[in-house]
Amino acid sequence: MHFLLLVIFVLAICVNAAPIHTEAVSRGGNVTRDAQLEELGNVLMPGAMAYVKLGTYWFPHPRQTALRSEFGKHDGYAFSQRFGAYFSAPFNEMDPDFTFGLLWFIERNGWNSEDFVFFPNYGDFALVRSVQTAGAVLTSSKLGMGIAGGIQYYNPEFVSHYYEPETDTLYGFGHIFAGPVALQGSFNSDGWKSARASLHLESKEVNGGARSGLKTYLPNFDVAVYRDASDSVRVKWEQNLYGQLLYAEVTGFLSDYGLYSAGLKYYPDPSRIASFDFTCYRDSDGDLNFGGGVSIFMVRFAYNHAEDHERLFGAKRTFVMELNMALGAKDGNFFSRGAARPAPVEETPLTKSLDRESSKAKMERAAGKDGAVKEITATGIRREKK
Amino acid sequence: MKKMIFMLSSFALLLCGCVTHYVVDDTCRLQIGNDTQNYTVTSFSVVSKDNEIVWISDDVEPGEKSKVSERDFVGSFTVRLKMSGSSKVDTTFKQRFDGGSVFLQIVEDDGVIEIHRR
Repeated sequence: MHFLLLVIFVLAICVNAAPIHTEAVSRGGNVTRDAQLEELGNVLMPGAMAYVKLGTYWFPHPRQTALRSEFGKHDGYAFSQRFGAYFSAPFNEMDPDFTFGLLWFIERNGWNSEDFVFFPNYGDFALVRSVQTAGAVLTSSKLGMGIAGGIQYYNPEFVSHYYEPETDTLYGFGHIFAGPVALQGSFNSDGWKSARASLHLESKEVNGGARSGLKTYLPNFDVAVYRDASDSVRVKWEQNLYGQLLYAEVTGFLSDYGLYSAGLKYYPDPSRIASFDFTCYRDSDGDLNFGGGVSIFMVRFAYNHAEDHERLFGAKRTFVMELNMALGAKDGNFFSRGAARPAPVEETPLTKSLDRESSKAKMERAAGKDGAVKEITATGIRREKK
Repeated sequence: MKKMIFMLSSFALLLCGCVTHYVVDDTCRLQIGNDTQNYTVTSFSVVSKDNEIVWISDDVEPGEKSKVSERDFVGSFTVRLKMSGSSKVDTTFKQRFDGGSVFLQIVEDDGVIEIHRR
């Protein structure tokens, strides 16, 4: 009975979902490209480290992300498949100050009438594209700074002619950070495309900062300027409200659009392995939409979440299930993207006890029953006959 | 054991996300039956403000059925039906297609054209 009610509830939510528009899917490529640049800024830090991310949405019902085209409403699936990796290591192991790292992010997204993992059927109203970011990173722990540069490749795999036409495009990007300040720019053959300035004042233990205190309550700002039709400026403010467990996030545009989204995020642990979100976003009609989500390690459930509205082509009133992992490792500690503190990894008493036992066993083996160490004296050498 | 069951069921659920098309049709196979006395169906198409995609293009005489035509139209669309006969009919209306095989039967009842879906 409970299961039946749950199924009815989920189906009701699915049918209630608003369709996404072809124009929003077309705009999604640049949103993805910018999201990768923003993520790069969040991930890079001085010193040897590793970062791996993996993610994909899952929609069991084709009316959760229906497409609004000029002909009507098409049942189908919006998709976003992501993978990313960043590894850095010291140039010289004796001197771990300077590190060299390589990063690669890829996201394949769009809309298709069929769901798929690797091989889409390219329906008459499909759009399948991939955006890749690859770069090299140099950092110095002593100076607390780093520099990164690389390329972004925008590859429209299949764009049906009911969308804006897209072409293969190569972009370049540069990123430099020193302490709490980071500057970033991207460009292609037409000139500069975006610029971003970040000021992350919040002190975080993962970056070698404070574990608690007033410094952990300083704000984080991101300002991005895009060279598009409206030359929009996007401002993001993240604020620790309580013990790096409760954060407020506000995003807006310095244009007629104004406030875009606001949210409260509660992380039961500062390593951000789990989160409970409550968000609100303003859609293009000016209406406020409330939603939220729960994320536990690799699985995320959300309904009408502001992040999904932004990342998933303006999806509204959509129930989302997502496989999502973004895990960093540094100095033997693990943390999620943007976390303040590493995950609490318990000491390994098992290993220690094994060590203790093994040394004890060694002593016992070396010692006789009476506890005295056996002495073996060689009395001569015997040669065996062949 | 419980962890293993949870992981296996989660994996199975995630896999389901990419095989839904084995049980849900993402195309629609349409056939039109003309049960009117005086009209010939000349075209059936899906229309937008500026575009038109003809779905059934062959003339369907009274009492006949069209060929089956498969298109990527699953969802709710604005469709246009054109008929010629004692008078010309050119009408647009909303129609939902759930995918799979759809048979639209056009009937005439006291001079009123009706469309029945089977």
